Amino acid sequence: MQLRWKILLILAVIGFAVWQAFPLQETIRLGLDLRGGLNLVMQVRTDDAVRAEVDQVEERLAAELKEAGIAHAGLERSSLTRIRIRAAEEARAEELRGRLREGFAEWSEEREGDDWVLDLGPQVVEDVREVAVRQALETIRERVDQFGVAEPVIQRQGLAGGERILVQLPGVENPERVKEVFITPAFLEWKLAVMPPDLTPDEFRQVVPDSEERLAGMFGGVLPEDVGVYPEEITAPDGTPVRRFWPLKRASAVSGRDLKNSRRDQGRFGEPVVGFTLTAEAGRRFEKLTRENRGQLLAILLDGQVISAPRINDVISDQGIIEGGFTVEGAEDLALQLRSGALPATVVILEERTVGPSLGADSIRQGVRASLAGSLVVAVFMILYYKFSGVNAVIALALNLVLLLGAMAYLGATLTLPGIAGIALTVGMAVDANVLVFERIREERRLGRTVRSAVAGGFSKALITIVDSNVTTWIAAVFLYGYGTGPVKGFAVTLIIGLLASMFTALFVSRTLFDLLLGRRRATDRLSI
Amino acid sequence: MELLTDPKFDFLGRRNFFMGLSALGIAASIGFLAFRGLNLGIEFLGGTEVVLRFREAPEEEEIRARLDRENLADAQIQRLGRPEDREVLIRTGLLPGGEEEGGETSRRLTDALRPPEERERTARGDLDLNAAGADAIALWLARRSDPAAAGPTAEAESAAAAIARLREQRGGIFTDPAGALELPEVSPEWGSALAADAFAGEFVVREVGFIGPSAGQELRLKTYWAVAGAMAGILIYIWLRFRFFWGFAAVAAIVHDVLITLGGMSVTQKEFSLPVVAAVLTVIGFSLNDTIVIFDRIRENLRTARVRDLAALLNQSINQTLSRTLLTSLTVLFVVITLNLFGGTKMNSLSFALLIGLFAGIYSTVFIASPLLLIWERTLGRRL
Repeated sequence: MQLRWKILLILAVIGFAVWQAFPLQETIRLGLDLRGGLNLVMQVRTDDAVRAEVDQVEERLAAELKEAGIAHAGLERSSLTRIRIRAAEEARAEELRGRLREGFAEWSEEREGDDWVLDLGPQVVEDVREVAVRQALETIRERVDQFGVAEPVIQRQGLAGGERILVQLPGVENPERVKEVFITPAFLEWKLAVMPPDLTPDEFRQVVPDSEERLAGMFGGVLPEDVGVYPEEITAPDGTPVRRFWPLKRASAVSGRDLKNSRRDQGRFGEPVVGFTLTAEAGRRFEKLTRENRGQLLAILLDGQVISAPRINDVISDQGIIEGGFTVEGAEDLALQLRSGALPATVVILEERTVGPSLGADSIRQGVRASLAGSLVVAVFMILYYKFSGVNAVIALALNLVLLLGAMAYLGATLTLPGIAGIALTVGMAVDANVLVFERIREERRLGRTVRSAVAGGFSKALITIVDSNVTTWIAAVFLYGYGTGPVKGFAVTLIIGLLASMFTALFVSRTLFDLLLGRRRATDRLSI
Repeated sequence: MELLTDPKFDFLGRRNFFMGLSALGIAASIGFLAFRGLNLGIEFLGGTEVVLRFREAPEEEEIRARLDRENLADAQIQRLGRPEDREVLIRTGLLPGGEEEGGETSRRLTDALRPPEERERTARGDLDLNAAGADAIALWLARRSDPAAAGPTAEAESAAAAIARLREQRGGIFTDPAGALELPEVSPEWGSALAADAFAGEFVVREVGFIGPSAGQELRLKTYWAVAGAMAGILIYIWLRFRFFWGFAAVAAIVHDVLITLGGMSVTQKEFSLPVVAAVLTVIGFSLNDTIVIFDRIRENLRTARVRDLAALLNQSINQTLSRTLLTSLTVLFVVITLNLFGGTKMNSLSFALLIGLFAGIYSTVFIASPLLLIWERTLGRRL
């Protein structure tokens, strides 16, 4: 290849790299350890969703059996997806089978003596799980949106049917609050309180019991069938947490699903509350409820815990507030969660890494400073040791860095803190290629060869030698890239690309520079090396 | 300039001394690893860690006493970096809850460490300038002017940004709020609001990490695969490149390097993290190069030698390639030394592992790999 074309090619490659890589701030993707932010991997507990589904079916089954008057000894859950009807009325067996086949088609039914065992079909279970994960993903996406984070990453993870969600929020500075907002299911319910005999609502409010036994005692030992026990946690005047138990109707009058909107608002005394708006249909139900139960207590539950139980003073149709001793942020967060909808299943954090912005900035500053200092020392050494040829090597080195950055920008590779160390290492290792060639040239000169033939000899078997010397580093780097986590991947990437680029610069560019230098003069006998 | 013109060192003559030194080093490393062990991070063991920067770093007993409030008194407490950095790392292993722990522990750690006065002030709505990000500060300021504000105003945002910048300049933490009040972007009204209701919290959270049981298991598995794969690849390469005992000598040198590096990490108790594993693998790869260069030269000399004096031949080969070996190692060494000096705390265990590994690698290439070849022929009586 003619010298002219070689130079053109080099300039073209460099031009492309520069165009890709600069301005640096915008082109190179920074890893979390340099940028700062929140990184979460969460798992959706799809078992919850399956359990909820089976719960509903169990209720429906009980209702149907009662309606049809089929006697039985009770319903049992022997596993997550299995319901057992104990000792069903023998005489009505065929009728029962018919009903089961018709009303519960997705379930396989089997007779075991006097019992009937229903199993939820595996396909249906799969579907329920799949829907749960998708809904969770959507809900979390909504919640993130409301936070207004720039460039969030919300992804489903895991192989097909994966139940994991990855969330990356760059720049987030208050991870505790953000985490709370994400993983709280935020399932809201309104349940009517059922008073023990002889107590008015206001009287009951003074004596809400602190144990389940005492509550049962108030009802004469046994609670009515449609009433359940629900906990509340409050703080006593002296600051200790106290648990109280409320008797509430199991069936929820209204739930979070019926909300059309919610926002932070101000209560009577200016304290933060959550204001809500119901859908038209739910509003009608709510109106009926409040009209028929004036003076009774209506408990508001969040995720199964009572947060307040105000008295129904007026008829409320579709707008109201929820008080619960919220802080400004607490009300803000709850309103946000309600707007995005409740999570369909519990979400558990598997893994978290949050890097504060000051740490990220420090890391970048120190890493870059160290790399530049290292490169400078190497450059100075090369010039001192190889004189003018050292300058050749330094130019190749500079181009190597530019190429590396350009390639990283082009490939969308992420730069991490170990990656910055990797860049520095590449500088040290890349210059070795030049060292190999120059030492060879020196040797040839010592043997008495002319400048031209020495240079040619130096570069002749250089390719094989340089490839050879980098092979083992490449092997290690490839496996590190394949199995490494984020920061380690960044390290491997800079090594692999950097060493590849160094082959181009040390062989092609350096050789061209030599040719350029020697081109004009005919028979030179001096080489500064 | 030339470092060595025609060196003629007798490396093999003093081989017993040098190999003895190595044996000592290896024994010491194994000893440290056995008794002191490595400072394994949460990436390997699972658990929670938080890195805090204090206004003034408290004593360890004080920290433990506060952690005791949340039953976390047996956490590992370590000072990071230099004393001026006032940085503390607190690490707990996985708690019995299993996966359910998920991220709770970091909150409990920071809650336990917060002085009660600060917690009360925050509950009242005061602003902790060292815990709030620019967004939170902006919102707080905006609400001071208009309690019903839904979001920050532009002025609030620029004031908050200025405060955050000032905090950056002060090393990421305010020792007192005074400077923030005097910024031009902060209006007098906000200034007095800050003076009354803002404070400089005792510490700033620099980093939080939590690895649950399943995540920890996966990370360990990935690391094993990475190491196993890389080692397999390297060993296969050695097997292809060298005949039998040569390969064995090369591997012996690698084992030496790894043990010395791990020993160094154990002595200094720097955090043994995944990037450190990467550093060790890289060093292995790099150190193997020089071994290959010398072995190639030995093979070449063996072919052309008229008289077979193995010791002299080995010496000659090493001396011939010494210049190249030293130079290539030197350039990388320059870089690794600057990384250690200027790279900062986060990078420090990685750069230190590189440094030790590099020295061990140079040593083993010259003083172990070749002498082993001599032993093979002389002591075991086999021809190379």
